[in-house]
Amino acid sequence: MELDDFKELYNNQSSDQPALTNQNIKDMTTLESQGPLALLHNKTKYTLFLFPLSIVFFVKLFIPSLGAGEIGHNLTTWLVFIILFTEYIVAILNYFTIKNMQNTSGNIKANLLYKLSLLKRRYKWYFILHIGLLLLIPVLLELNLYFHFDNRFEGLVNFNPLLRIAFYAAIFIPLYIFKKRFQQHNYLQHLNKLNGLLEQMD
Amino acid sequence: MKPEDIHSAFTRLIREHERMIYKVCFMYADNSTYRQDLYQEIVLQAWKGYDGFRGEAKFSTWLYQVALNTAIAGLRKDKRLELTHMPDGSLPDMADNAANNEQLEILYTAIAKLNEIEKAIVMLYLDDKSYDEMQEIMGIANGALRVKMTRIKEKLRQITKK
Repeated sequence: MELDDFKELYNNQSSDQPALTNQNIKDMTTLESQGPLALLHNKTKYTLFLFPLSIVFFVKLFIPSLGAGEIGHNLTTWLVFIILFTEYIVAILNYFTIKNMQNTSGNIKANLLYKLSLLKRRYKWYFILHIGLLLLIPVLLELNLYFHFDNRFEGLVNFNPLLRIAFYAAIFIPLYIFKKRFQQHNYLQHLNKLNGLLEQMD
Repeated sequence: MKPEDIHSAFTRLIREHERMIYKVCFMYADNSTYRQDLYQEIVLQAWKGYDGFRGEAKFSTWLYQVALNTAIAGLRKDKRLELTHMPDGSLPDMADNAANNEQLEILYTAIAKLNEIEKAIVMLYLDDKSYDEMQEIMGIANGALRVKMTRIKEKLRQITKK
């Protein structure tokens, strides 16, 4: 088969297609995108409302007249707040990543590189935030032993420091592995696909 | 909301280039439902990005970029869902015309075995785009495109020999 022999045939192939009407085009522009990224974008948008709603439960942490001093000494509340806040930051990052991933401008290579860079950045920040969070929790628990924010955790002082470190490691290392696997499941396939397409360009 | 005259200009440009969109759909979707789906997604993405079209490149070049980015980078649905009917009940007929033509069927069967990027290059080549235009659309250097094109032609020869 000689490709050049097919040029004429190829360029005349759709001549018998009925033309689009203006109404067809107008209707298409009013449709919601049904692509996987657009659907994911909508889901992410809803998660952005969850944290501002849940903040109602933490309002006492910040307003002295509502007992901020008293509740401010509640380490558990602070820990839950920090975890939720981190997840909220992650949700915001997700939202903007997915929004920008829908960009269709620019040449094919530049567009693929842009998407690859977005995903890599997203992947990197996810780990920075979660590792920070996983380190912050044992640090707060240890500080509590010296500054006595919350007496419910003071029983930890009875354990040997090495045993405490082993305890933190037993809880947080599996959490880290779980988070990492979850992210790989969600993002690695997209990263691999984009890398594969870029390899095809070389 | 974009003003009506922008909408009219966009509609006119899409009508002028609708065959180009058909070609992308035929190249990247393997059945009528999927093609309609991809067609709608391309028009929608073009409309969303139309504000960013500054006329520095030809409209056809810009539209090719949008269409190929949509088809290649996964903005279309992965599953084949039911048709979305227009309020007037009509949609462009995306029936498999290629199947009615033996020669075209040979061409599309062979092209289907190429990877996503090679398909795009073949399509631009068949559409008589110059290598400079192909470079602008694909982002691959002129020289590299020529080498790729030679390899693709050979690959197609091998595929059709089998």
